[in-house]
Amino acid sequence: MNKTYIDIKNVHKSFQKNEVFGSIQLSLNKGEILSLVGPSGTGKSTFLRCLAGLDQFSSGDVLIEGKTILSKKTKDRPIGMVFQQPLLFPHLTILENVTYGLRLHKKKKEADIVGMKYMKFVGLEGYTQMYPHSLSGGQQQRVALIRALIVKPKLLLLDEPFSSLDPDLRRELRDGVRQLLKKEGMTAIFVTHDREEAMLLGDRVAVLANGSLQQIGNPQDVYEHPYNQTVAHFFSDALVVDEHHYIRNYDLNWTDSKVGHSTENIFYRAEWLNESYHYGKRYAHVKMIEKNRRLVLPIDLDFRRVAHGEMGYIRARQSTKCRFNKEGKFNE
Amino acid sequence: MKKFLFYSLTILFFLGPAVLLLFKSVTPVWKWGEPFHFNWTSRGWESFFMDPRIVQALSLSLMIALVVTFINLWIAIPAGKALSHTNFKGKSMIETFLVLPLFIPVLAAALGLHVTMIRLGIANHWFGVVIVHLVPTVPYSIKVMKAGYDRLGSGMLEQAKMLGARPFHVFRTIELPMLMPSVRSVVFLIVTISMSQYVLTAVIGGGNVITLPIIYYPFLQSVDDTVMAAFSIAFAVLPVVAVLIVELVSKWLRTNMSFRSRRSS
Amino acid sequence: MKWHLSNRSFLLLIPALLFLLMVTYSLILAFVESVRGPNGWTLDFYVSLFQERRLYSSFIYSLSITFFSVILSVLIGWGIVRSCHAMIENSIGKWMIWIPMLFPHFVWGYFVLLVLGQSGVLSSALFQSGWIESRDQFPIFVQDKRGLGIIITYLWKEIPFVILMLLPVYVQLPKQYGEVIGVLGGGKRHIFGTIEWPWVKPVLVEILLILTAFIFTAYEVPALLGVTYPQMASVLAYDWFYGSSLEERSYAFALLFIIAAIMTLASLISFMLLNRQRWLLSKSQHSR
Repeated sequence: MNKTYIDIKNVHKSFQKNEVFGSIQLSLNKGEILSLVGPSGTGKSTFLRCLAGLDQFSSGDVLIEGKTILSKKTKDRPIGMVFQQPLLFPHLTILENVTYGLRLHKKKKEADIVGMKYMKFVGLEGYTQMYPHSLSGGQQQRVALIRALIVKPKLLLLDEPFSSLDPDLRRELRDGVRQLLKKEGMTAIFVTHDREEAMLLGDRVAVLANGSLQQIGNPQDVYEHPYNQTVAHFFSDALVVDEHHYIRNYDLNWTDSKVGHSTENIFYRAEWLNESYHYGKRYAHVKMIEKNRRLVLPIDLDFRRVAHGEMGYIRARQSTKCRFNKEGKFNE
Repeated sequence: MKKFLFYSLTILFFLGPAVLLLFKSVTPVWKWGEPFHFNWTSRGWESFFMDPRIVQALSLSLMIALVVTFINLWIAIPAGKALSHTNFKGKSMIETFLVLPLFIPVLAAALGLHVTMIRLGIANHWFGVVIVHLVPTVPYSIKVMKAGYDRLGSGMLEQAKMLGARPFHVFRTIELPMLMPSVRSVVFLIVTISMSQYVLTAVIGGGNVITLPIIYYPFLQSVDDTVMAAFSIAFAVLPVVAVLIVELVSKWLRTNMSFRSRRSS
Repeated sequence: MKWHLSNRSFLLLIPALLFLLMVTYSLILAFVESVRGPNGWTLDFYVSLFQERRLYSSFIYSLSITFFSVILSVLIGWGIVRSCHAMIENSIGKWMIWIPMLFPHFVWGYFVLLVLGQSGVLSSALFQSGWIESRDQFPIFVQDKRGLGIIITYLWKEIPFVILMLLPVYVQLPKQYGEVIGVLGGGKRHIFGTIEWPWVKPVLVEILLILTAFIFTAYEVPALLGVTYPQMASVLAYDWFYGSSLEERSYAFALLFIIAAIMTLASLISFMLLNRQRWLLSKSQHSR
């Protein structure tokens, strides 16, 4: 196992007696990308701002290569950040924007050469002399990314960098961003509220909800073996049976009536709301009557058409019921 | 600490003079070297309000200021809208030209206008004074109204148009109420500026248009500080009075107009 | 569509354009008056104007008073806004700053006379408390040859003006860019150079131009607080205008027209230099 590169120890933040988040413990290896995912308003942005020094943790410590950084000012921390909005300086050209951080210490000529190299990485070499307002939102965010990368920070923080873009652009951008971060060997924390984005970008994902880290692990593990109800609701596609059990959505089925052995099967009464198709598969959107909760479950493509409001059952096999478990992995 | 310093300095230099003037207006003249005495006297205000010439000048000044303000709004509201919500070639140039009158000597414009007004026969008339007061005021009004329209944004007005409202209806029901803070600023600013003009009024009015500054200015060297202080305070109070007048009129107009439109529908 | 749009803008701008026309017309007339001699058009007045000794002394006097008043009021007002803007906005302090704005310049001049004159309140108070023995010992602040009283009056009136002009700029200064610079490793110096200065510069230039034009050519305060010699340019122009000879009247027009021409040129040049950057800044996409 690698020596930990970045060590976040028991950090905690409260604001005017209200706790924003309590006791987050995290460590990252060099070159690792961690996706920090959670519902809006759970302090993800605040967490990043505290790391960058734009805000202060109430307690705890952060070590980079074994040395604390919390005593340093923002400008002296080896941490870069990309914000929700591109925030390019409107009166500087794209190249001047990209090389801004380098120009603080380097001559213009040297900085421009490096800047051009990075602009090629993101396919914007033709835009050097343009001003930010003539670029599209996606292009602007790419410029913001290389502006942060070019100074080679030890840790890069990305605060929902795609949230101001439309869905097509987001999809187009995120692969490129991951590739570039990997190529640069960048250690990064990527904050998002979009599960898909979290899985695509992160080597590991961490779920932050209700003011604390709920679970951390590789995306598949977290998806398949949520530790608790919160993670199950937010990150996994799972039906929460009770406080100890869940069933993954792909183990669920729709039936018009209770057919099959009730010892082998579990039935939940449900209302059919609608259906949709994704990547060649058909999904039913139903509402569980008992819990008044919406669910999306896969159904066969050739299953009959069901009208809105028709009642039926969600069926699952007893054997697919899993237990929330921090040790995870085994079924009951 | 910074707060303390800031407040003690603003109180001393900004609030202090007003308080001192107010105080002087109700105490008898202090002779140099004699101890300050604080006996109440209403003589300053009495001689201000009892003099029919001053009362007349006061109402004339107020009228001129209000007409100037009205013309200012007539120019600045549409101009602010055009500069904020529409885009056209040469916009930044027109914007530059519209603030330019602030950067030239008003006296030059006033003397130039004077020549024309003599020909037109409106020199020595209060309306000529209104015209010349426009020069140092209109650029400010346009700036304020443009900022007002910038804040308003065009979305709200488009929404109203989508709902089928006629332009004037949109203006009356949405633009004007939402622009009221800017309109208030314009009224306040323009009345203050118009009230402060001595030389422009003197040139154009030629001694026939007696506004408050025309009476006040020659007495500046007078020794009767009690009357002068009362006079000085009056200058600061008038803009506030003017804002109140405009506020009342606009309220009256709004209730009456909406009453009428309800009746007609 | 495009035609329609610009047509509409034009309609909305008609009153404003009429106003501009009037101002331009008045300046042209001032020029015409300055070149119309008894025997047709002539530039004689300009030639002999420059031979007037009074003009030079008055120009230098006006320039130095304008320079000190403008530079000091801008520096002090800017300094106050820079260090206190967060505190001033939405506080009672903002209303106190408005107070001097309410009074006309000549009223403020009277107030300076009342307080700082040799027979004024301050001098009287110092005498009563035994600091000075006679009014001659009180320094001459007003109606002095150096124009100190004029400068004091202008500072007192214009500092609040500078504060109120700059306050909105500082309140709307995009703070997020400061954070961007911070995480890129830049300090206060860089935040000033990249953000504060570009945003403040246009307004600062505007304030400089307004104050320069105003103070250089205002009549009321120097007529009240100045001395008979040297005179400020505006007082001279006013005297000439109401002077006995027709020639002097033309001098007044010539003098004011020269000042107007210089100021127009200076403002047009500075605006041309600033407009592009202003336009770029207005495209900023920070959330407000």
